[in-house]
Amino acid sequence: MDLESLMKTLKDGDIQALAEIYKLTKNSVYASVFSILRSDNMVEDIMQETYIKVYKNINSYTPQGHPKAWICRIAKNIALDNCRKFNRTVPIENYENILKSPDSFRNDDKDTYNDIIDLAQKVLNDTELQIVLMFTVGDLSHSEIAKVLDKPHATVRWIYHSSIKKIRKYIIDNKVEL
Amino acid sequence: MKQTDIEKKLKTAGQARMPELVIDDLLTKAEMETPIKKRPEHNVKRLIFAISMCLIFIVAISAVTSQTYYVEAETYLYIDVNPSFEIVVQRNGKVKEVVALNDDAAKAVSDYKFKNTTVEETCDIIFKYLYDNGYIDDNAEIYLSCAGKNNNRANNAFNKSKNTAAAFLNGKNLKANVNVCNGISKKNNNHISPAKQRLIDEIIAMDNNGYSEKELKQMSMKELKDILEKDCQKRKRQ
Repeated sequence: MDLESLMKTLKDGDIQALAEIYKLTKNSVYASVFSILRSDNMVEDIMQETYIKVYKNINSYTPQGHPKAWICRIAKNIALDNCRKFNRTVPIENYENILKSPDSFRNDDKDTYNDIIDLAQKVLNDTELQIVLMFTVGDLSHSEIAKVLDKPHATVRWIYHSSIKKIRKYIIDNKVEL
Repeated sequence: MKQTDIEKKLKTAGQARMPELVIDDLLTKAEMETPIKKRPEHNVKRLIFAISMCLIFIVAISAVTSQTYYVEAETYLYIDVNPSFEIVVQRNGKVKEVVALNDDAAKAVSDYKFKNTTVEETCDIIFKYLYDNGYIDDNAEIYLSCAGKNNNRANNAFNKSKNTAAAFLNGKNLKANVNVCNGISKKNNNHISPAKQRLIDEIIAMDNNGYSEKELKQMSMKELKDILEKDCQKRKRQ
């Protein structure tokens, strides 16, 4: 059963469809949440909250061919809300400002990298990291990412390719072993 | 390291880090929530568009209505000299058109555009034409009459035509006789002035006049007046 049909089944009241939806979208949701939080802390809670919210708001979903993008948008908004909760003293213009605050979950001052995601966090800015993780880890297409981030499709593609090149250059220049 | 290797490593790293949710736990928590019913969608843009269209429609209708209201033909002034003219006056007091009631008048009307001129201007043009073409002299008989729906506005226009006639004759020092048909008649549709109609009615009322109404309508004012005068003389003799 494809995701669109599962969304319809859930809308019809079959809560078991939520388990299937989770299986099909967990990568995308994880990538969306992690790329905003830049930390594994709270990712699990936010993912759970995302699926509960998907069920709660299933009636407002209108099939437009991008159910994954709709779910990721929910995940992104919950992650941003969480960032705001923990940074209340910082004036919030947008989430990039939140993430750049000293109390944020960033850990980009590392010199050693556990994995390539650690390295990507160091090398890429927020938007680049979001696009790269959503595409590679989250299995989202460029057009779906464009929907989630409200950016033009061509811009997303361009950012993605330049980001991968950036990571590659960093690895080569600094002779990083992963 | 190739680009595809980086992509693969990112995917593997992401999957390794990803937490697995306990599905039963998730479903139990979800079951505690009730899906929010979708609110009926009010398409604000559509609503605004519909309201604006209604407003534009109302404004357009009222503009057209008011326009047609003020330009509706309401008063009819008649100048009978032979030629005879019907001056059609709009509700706003401006002239709508001048209708020629016979062939001689048609020649006069064809050279001028009377639309939206004042009653005075129109009467002045007509009297000037009549004078220049020899229809008015000291012996001329001018008949002025009026028909209309609204007595006040008709009287107002009629007075203007009477004053213009008097001013023109005074200006030219003419002693022509101006016959004013008093009262505002109802408009008839046979292109006959109230003054002429009154003469026709008087002749028809006579015993043994020998003329049909159709014949009388085709006669000039002078011919009608002559018939009446002859009848008067007959009666005096009797």
